[in-house]
Amino acid sequence: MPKKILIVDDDPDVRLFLSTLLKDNGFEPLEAANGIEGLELAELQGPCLILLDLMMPRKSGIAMLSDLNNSERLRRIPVIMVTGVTGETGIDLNAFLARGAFVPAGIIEKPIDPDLLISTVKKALEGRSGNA
Amino acid sequence: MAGIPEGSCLVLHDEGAMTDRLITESRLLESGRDGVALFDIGGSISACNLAFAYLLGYEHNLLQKRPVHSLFRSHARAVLRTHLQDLVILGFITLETEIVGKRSEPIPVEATIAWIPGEQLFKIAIRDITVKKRLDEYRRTYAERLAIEVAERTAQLTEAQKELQRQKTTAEGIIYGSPIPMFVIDKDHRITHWNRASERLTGFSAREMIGTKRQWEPFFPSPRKVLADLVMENTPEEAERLYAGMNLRKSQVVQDALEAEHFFPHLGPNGTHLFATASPIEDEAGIIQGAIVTYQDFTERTALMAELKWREAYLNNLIQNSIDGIIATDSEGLIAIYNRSAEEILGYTPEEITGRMRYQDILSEETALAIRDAFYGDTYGPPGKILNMITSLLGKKREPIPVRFTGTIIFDGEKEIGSVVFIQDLRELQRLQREKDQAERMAAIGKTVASVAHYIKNVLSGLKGGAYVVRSAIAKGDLDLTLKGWEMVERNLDQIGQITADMLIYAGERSPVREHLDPIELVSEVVELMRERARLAGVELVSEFREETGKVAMDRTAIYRSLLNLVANAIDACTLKGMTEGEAKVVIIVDRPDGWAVRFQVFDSGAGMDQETQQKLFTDFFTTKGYAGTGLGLPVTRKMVEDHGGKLLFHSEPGRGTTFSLLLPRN
Repeated sequence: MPKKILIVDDDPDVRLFLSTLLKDNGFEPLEAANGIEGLELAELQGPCLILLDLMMPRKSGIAMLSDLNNSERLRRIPVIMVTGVTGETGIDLNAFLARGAFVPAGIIEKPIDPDLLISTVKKALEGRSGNA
Repeated sequence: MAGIPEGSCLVLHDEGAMTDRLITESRLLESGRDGVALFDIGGSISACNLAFAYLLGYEHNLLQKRPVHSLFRSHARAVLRTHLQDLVILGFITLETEIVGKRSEPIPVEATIAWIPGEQLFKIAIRDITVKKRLDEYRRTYAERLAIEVAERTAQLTEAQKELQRQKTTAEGIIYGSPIPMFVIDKDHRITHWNRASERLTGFSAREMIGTKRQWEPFFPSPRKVLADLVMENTPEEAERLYAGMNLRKSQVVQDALEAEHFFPHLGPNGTHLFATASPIEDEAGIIQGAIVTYQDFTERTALMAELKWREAYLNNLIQNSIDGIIATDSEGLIAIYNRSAEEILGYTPEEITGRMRYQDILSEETALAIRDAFYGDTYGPPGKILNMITSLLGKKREPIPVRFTGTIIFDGEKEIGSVVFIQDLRELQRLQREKDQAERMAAIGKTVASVAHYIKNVLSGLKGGAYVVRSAIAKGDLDLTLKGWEMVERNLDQIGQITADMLIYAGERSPVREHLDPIELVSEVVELMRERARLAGVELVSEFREETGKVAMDRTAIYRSLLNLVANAIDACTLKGMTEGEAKVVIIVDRPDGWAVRFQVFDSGAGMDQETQQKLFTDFFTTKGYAGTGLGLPVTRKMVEDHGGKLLFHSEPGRGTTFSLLLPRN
């Protein structure tokens, strides 16, 4: 049974590309256009991994992260952050990470390199199973 | 008549009968030149010699038998008349008296009356003492006059003495009371005067100093010769040695005097800077009898001079090192101050300009008039002043130099006594501004190139993603997915088309093509197009048509793109607010203010812009949106609006939002 990976990104092009890429590599992608949808899907489907964009309308990646952290069940799901150019989104990612409340399983910068993404995903999943 | 003395008078009674008697009388009458007469106890003259008769002025025979007292006056007459008997007892008397001459004139005589016992006769010898009397009188008068003279002289001398004393006292009073510290020593180097000012200066009293040789004590730590001692001795080498480093010199004012100027650390609480003059005092013979020393306390003056020098140097330093060029003129209009910066601006050396040139020489005729008008008018500040006038001077090569000119006329009461002007070289400022603009432009271009690179990279990433999807779909034979991938490729191709169009418009390659359009239709299209984007951003997009405008002439593409730009910007501006608070609004208002064909207002409820952002808003390639923006949106929009003869304005309040107004003109 293919592992479920949740894609949270407001850009439909990015979602299409990522889901095609993940399907081709044997995963089952789930798509959400913002943080609210993302949390709902995470609750319902219990994905193995979340690919999370930071700049999104309605509920940003950061807001969704703090909700994930507050949930006993969802806290254990590894998150790979998919970001635009750091520092120009208005969100200081480094300052956020420095608070230490959250450790991402990986950070992927846009534009997304398909091979790097797949290897990061695989590594994150292995790490998780290793820890489990 | 041998035997009868010359000058005698022989009175002959009865010749023959009185021979003896005659002989006796002759003998008795021999008395030299004196007048001699004989008279008896009854006073009756019996004989006299010629001298006697001559003295009285009588014929000699007329005197015979006359009473002797009748010849006398006053008390002598009384004595002879009544006391002849007493004369017999006395033997003889000598008296000074007056006898009466024939003409009753008094004749002063010395009369000697002698009793001749054997003859029972008196002999009287008289000597005319008129001359003697006169001499005596003269002597007496002379003596009196002498006495008066002596008395007068004595009085004069006494007076002179007193005057001298008075003068001496006055002189000493002057010395003592003089405000100038001074002291006097005598030829033995002892202090004779030590005035009050000296007491005050040195703290040593006249009482303790006068009579001593302690003149060194107030000034030096140990006994030594001071200027007063040295000036009396004329030993220049010793003076040089003792006053080394104390500015010793010969006085230019007082002959043979010495001057010295030095700081005496022992004198007064903080030391005293003294200027001393010592002059020798000579008597009439030119022999030195002492010396007088006067002091001037230069402490304050020296301090003031030092202060003055310092201020002058400071001021000069300020003037010379001022970044502004400083030029000042004197009452003659000649340039008196011309600092280094002025030199750099104009190119003249100070020697060429100071005291030689006037403002006219460094101004064109036109500028000179303009500056004169500015000085006396109030266009550039109150009359007499010019503040920040942008004008130009003429340099040495007669080239115009743009400057900022600030100046003031200096008055002494009502009278102009000069002027001072400050000039800033605008060449440098203009060059700096150009450099700054250039640098900013370069930075903006660099930033834009980076932005465009990111933009293209982003588009490229979309293209790659689309290409990946298409290939994957074809491999799977999934036509639907192929179509989705292909649409993704097309959207990214469109984006490349848009930025290319923006850049072309901004580069001025496209001019507006006008057609008559309804602004409301245009806005509706824009709202329709942006609605989905707004929804995704959590922003409410609303339009309000407040006034009927009718159709307005405009380039459809340009105004449509402008409105799209403004609305997209507005949505971006409140996206964060929409995401975090869920409440953000963009409103498009259409109306028609006076003088314009139409106004489009685009309001957003975003964070507003800070001052810096507002200032750079229309700067080319400026963006706050990272790789999402090219930084060309607003400059392109403004250019398109201005190409229409319209205006693009904005008003922003931090925390409350921003409104952009796009105004198009009638016709």
